[in-house]
Amino acid sequence: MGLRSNGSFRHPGYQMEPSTSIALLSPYGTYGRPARLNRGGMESKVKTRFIMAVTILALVAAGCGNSGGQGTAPATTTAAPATTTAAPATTTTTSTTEPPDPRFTFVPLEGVPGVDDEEIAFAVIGIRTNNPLGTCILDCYLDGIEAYFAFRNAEGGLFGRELGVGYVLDDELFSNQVRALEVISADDVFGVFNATLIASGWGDLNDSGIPTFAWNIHATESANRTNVFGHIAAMCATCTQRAVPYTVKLAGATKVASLGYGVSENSKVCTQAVADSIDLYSAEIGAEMAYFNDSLGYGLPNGIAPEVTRMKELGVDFISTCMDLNAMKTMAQELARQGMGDVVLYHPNTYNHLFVAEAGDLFDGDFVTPQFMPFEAAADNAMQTAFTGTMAELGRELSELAMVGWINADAAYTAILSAGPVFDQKSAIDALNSQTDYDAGGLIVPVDWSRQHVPPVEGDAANDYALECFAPVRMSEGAFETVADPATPWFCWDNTTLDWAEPTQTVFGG
Amino acid sequence: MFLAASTGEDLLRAILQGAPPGSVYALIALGFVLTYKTSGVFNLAFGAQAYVSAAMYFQARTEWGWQIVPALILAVFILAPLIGLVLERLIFRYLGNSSAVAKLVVAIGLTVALPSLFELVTGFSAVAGRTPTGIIPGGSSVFYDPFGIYPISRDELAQMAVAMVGMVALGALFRFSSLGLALRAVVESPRMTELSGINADRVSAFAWALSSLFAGMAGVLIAPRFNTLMAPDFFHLVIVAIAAAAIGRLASLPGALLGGLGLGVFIAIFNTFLPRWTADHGWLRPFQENLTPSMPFVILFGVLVCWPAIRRERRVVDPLGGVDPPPPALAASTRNRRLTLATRVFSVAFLCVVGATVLLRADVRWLFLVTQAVILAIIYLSITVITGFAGQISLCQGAFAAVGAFTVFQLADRYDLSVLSAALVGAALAAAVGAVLSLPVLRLGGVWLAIATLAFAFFFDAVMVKFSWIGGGGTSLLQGTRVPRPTIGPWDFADDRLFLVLAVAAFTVVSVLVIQLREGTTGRVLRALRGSEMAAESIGISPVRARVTAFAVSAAIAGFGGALLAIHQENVNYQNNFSPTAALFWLVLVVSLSARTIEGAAYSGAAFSLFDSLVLRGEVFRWVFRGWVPGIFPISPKWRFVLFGLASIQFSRHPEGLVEYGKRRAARRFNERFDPRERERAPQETSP
Repeated sequence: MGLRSNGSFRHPGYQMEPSTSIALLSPYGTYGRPARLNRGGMESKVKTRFIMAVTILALVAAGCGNSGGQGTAPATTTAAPATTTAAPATTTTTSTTEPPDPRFTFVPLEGVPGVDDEEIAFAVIGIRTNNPLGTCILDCYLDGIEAYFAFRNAEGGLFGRELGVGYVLDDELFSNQVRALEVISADDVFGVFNATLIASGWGDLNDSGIPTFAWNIHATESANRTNVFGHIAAMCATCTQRAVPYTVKLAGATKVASLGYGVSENSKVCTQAVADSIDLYSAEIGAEMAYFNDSLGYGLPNGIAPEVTRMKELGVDFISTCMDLNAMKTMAQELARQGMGDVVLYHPNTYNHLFVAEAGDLFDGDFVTPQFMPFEAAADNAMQTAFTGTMAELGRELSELAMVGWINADAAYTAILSAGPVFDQKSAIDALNSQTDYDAGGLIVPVDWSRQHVPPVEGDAANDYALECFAPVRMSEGAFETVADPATPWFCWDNTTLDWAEPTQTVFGG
Repeated sequence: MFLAASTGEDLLRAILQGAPPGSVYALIALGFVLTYKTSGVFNLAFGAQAYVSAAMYFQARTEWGWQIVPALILAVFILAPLIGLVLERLIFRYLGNSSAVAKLVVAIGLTVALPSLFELVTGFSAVAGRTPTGIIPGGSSVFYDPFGIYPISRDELAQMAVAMVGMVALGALFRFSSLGLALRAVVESPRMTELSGINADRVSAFAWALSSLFAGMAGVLIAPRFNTLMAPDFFHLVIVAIAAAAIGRLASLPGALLGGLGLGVFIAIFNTFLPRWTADHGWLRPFQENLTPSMPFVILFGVLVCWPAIRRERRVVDPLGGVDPPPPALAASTRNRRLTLATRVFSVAFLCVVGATVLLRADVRWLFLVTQAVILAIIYLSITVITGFAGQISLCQGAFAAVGAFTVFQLADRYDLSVLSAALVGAALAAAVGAVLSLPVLRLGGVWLAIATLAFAFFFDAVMVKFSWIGGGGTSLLQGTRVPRPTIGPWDFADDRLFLVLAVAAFTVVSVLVIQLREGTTGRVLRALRGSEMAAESIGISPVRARVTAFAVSAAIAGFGGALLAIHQENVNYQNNFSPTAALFWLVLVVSLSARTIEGAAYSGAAFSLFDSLVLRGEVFRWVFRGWVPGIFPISPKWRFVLFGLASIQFSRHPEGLVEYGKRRAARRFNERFDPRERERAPQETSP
């Protein structure tokens, strides 16, 4: 348990001491402390290079402005603060004729919360205690964030500073708003990462102008909040989509069931949207809705035997649900019991390797759709390689939430990078909101943050993704495999039309 | 002919499908009856006890790799009885002659505390998908299908077998053994039983060990039903199983067994036939949508309200109970005037200092927490009225508060009405709901009233909140249930400091009204009814009118508080604030501190809102030591549940609550030191 000088806490076991956070094998093959600036005692040779680099940077800055080119970055040339440029450890062999990497330009900043000459600090809020799902959320999410920061710090950090987790707050399911206000009051972090089940604090974070990066499973709380950046954009819960119908077609099914909880409005709306989607594309996929039930008890406390019997009578051979992973297991067990083990399930929330491994062959043949490029893809994606490599270096398990944390951390990094070396919270938010093709290095479907904070409605191309994509994986023997070619794991459709078409297999970030 | 055959087969299948969950309900219902018959306690903590044993068994089998038998011995035959003995020795021994309601409150406290305590001690935590194993090899993978209609697993057969054997064995114990007779006698009157040479304490300890053992066995048997082992699942099962126990009137073991099985089968039949009928009869669909998820609570409420036997249930009364003195008056009404004056001066000064500090120095977090504490104190005043004054336990105060909150949202969202006017409308609506709810439960008393209100709370949670005209429905999914802050003339209450002032003013007004109620005719009527309903009726007091009034006033206060909470948070955070389990927690807190005083509500609001930040996160140390906080902080938030839950232990010894107890003790010490003449008049430090 580390107590910081400002009195806030570090989470035990997750301290990001500089020595450990950067002593990692860089994905580019650089060991040790690569790029940390030592502004107090530079060797004269290095000083000379810095002076040259500063000169070059000033020229580049004057000529081009922010190299990111997509943000409303602060005017570094007008502010004209003293800048220092340093390269990672590899700079000792770098030719001085090459332009310096703008990521390593250091400009002293005053009055930017969470930013000093050494570090850009973030807070992480999430649920650990009282998690009704029993899944790993906060700790796995933190794994991904820390891995990303370690990866970037190993490269040399950002603008002469390391990225770090200042403190971690467990919102205990019901205290998200209080934790958010705690962060706002402390005013000691640059941004906030948020992975919670009840996002009651997102409004306050948004209003306070703190960049907030979140596990976006909350359509309501993320809608129209331009300072909140999910790992996916604002969602349309009621819209039809082609993912489930196409999966039905892939499975060769003809009779579809859509199931959801009655107590959850999210689940009900999702269940109806799936049914509408099947109805819309029924002719094209050769399947029809056979059974619909959006009034199941949360967690299936009375089991699901009568419903399974009914589906058996109706000849259902594909079931899409809007339920949690524990309920999916209950249903799969009941299907197996009633001799329906071959029925294909479409899982919304079961991209959980430990959970699926524990289930053995129970889910064989079922589909899951992660909201990012699956780990099982082999798309030669540098960001995914960095993720798996850094996670392995740190000894952390790959998980859905870790990837979400990594994606959120990348959004934070991108925001600051786009804002330029003279950054603050507002300029970082503005910079990210001007990104029209943000894809976390190819891990997610490209988001246009200039317009995708607004939840779209059916057929609303103005606020929706340009492409409707999904990257399904199929379960087999307690593991996952991509449905599409692992090199191009995404199935995509043009989203300007609702017309049916065969999807295009693609990959992002290339 | 074909249709009839098909229907018959469906019916048989539904019976077979309903039997496994029914046997689970039966196991828990049997445990309820066993505990009630042997201790007189309506043990809502049964689920928590079952969870602890199940988790222990899971830990031993899965984490430590133990074999079935040693794991079973540890979890069921050692740990479970040990927990029972500890509970009896530390808590329930002191509740022998207390009301059933007092025992219920303690049980609710244990429900909150036990799982967290176990998890803190053992480090156990649920892992999604790591399914508990049963006590029989291949329990979940080997099936038997004698009718060729629906296979049943070994685990389920074991559940049914244990339920049957348990019913027979326990029935024999009570009917044919002297021990069974002694067990029942001790519940009736421990003092009278001791007159006949029976060691009541020892018998009571045995009863608790036995019932806890049964809880442990039930927990281990039920656990494979859950794919992830978590305490809330056990609690929800308990709520459902109460309906089964109610069918047995908490007295009949066969009734509980049949009630449990019947409940499971009925739900299965309902789920089998209703969806089929809705295909041809669309008008049935709303029933399917709304009744299916709430079926257990509807049945429970229906059983309680419509089952005449429950209304005629004979109350267990100790014939020697009359020797106990009545509850003493409030300390404030009997203590020395100088002490009262000094206390008031100090309180006003303290509040002024705290208020000024908060208003001038607090940041947004502390302003939020303090404002929330004040508003929660308003809601808790509703418990003061219904429990403190009327002596009734209502477990649906969260639902009443939610009515107020949703009213504000709807009126502000749809009709652009001023939120403060909407808050008053919300209070009126909540009062109407409270009054209507009180009518069917008028004849219920004590524990049954509490359970009926709990059933209503779960019904509200499962059904009512879903309606678009209440919770917002699909619209709220995209737009949220956002509520604006009010503006009155030059004052814009979007300013958090100004809103805190408004909340304090509201609390002051409601407090004055509650005091007026307590000191007025209504309060006296309620006190009279609380003392003896029959005696009150004999002097012309109408218990119907008094109870309806108490419920309506209490609901109105809760609704007003809920509305203010929504305005404060600018959103109706239903799950955060108003869920049935949150309301259970409220009750434990308020009665543990003091259910009869305004201070009790105020302290409860402060405790609920500020305890986490001040104590568990170590902010007190930060203030005192100027930034330094001991390394043990922040303490696990589970300690909040443990500490607040275990606070109910003191309730067994000081039913007046900690605050009132403290005031009594202070008054006694003051008198001893400064006013020997009044020593004789000083209030008792403890009440019976």
